Amino acid sequence: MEELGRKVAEKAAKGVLGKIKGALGIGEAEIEVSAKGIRARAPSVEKAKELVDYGVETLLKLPQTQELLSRADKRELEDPQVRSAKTKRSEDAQRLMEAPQVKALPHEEKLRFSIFTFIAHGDESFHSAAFPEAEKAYRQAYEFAQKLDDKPLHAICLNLIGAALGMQAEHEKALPCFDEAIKLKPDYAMACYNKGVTLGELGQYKEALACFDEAIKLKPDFAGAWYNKGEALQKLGLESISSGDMKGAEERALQLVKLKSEAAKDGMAEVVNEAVLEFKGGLSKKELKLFDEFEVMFTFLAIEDPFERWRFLKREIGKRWPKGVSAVEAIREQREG
Amino acid sequence: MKKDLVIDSDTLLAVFVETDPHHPEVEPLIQKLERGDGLLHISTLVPVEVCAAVVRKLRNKIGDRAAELFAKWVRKNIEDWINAGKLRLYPLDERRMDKAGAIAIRDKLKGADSAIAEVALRNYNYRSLLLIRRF
Repeated sequence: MEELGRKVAEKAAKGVLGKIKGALGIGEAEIEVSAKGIRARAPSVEKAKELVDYGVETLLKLPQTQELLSRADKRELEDPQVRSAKTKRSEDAQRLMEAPQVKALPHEEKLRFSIFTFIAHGDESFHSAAFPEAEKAYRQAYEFAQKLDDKPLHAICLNLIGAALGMQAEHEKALPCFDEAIKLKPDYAMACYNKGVTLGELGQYKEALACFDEAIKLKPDFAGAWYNKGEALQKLGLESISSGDMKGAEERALQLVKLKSEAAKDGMAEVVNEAVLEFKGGLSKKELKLFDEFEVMFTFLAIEDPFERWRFLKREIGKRWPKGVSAVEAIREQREG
Repeated sequence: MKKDLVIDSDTLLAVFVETDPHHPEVEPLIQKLERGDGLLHISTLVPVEVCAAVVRKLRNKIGDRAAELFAKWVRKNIEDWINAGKLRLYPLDERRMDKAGAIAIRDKLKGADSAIAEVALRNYNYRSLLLIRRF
């Protein structure tokens, strides 16, 4: 991916318009730099966006681009919008949009270029944990995107805004963003996943489960969705045990057993096992005691062979059996009072 | 040679408690079942007494809910063995009740002991087999 982006960006910076094809791991991808702007075709919208991001990012790093940008500096410094940009990267993004080559693009292509540039900037802020800035950049991207009749692009922007809001613990504000993104692009696995995470943060684990299910259905190799589904089931199991709803807890334990077996089929067993191991790490002593019951429950239910089950059960009962009381005495007590 | 045995509740309970002093003696019974070597015969009274003992003995230590859960799983495990043909269950029906009643009168046994003895008598000479219960 990076190699592909670099090649295209180099060509673009040299003023050579070109089209580069390459493999993207799961399918053929294509990135094209023309007078109309940067376009990418990839197996998914997300991959195409990533490809453009790499192209833009690499373009910005090249000496030729820097030269181009420095030529535009004088005029841009008079632009208060550029001056207010908080990071160097932001300045670069703004500068690039003001560059004559970009300005010369047709309206729609210029808009797309601006959207992807803002998204790239937002991503960088996001990965540097500058979430308010990321949100601002994504909102700018969305503002431009709304001028285009491109629903998937709107959905991408909304999902990103939601993610940035979520990272600022603004979960209630994030939720409508994901809802709208899913409405615009019903096969958007990432938005379904993000909605699930947000609902989980709001304590709505049942609803979160449905979102993770949908994300897994849309993208069976979505490790995050498997992990979070495992976590949500454990939270629900723990909740049921805490409230004395053993039937509900058993139902969740069975779901977790099923999840483990389905995950194994999709090569995600390790992810679910990790979710189980890590979940315990975050519990208080009191919760751990309750979780122990749930853990015994789903371990027992996961064993299919009745003799293996017996070995597990006798060990667990043995651990809990009162000292000094034999089976003979326990039965005698019942018969003799 | 396959060997069938009639077992009483305390034997089956010791099977499910790894820390029981008699567990090492009764464990081979289940290992034989697993290998398909023999069959265990039990009265319907046995699973009831085993589950009751599990819940009564565990509840003080781990609470009612968890104790109920373990008892439920013991019951399920016994059912699985019955369904797999490893345990043969003898319902305490009217005919068996009559016979157990006769044993109780004749041998001065307690009610539950008489019901177990009836199953043993059906298969063997219960006087020797009852020793399994008392270890």
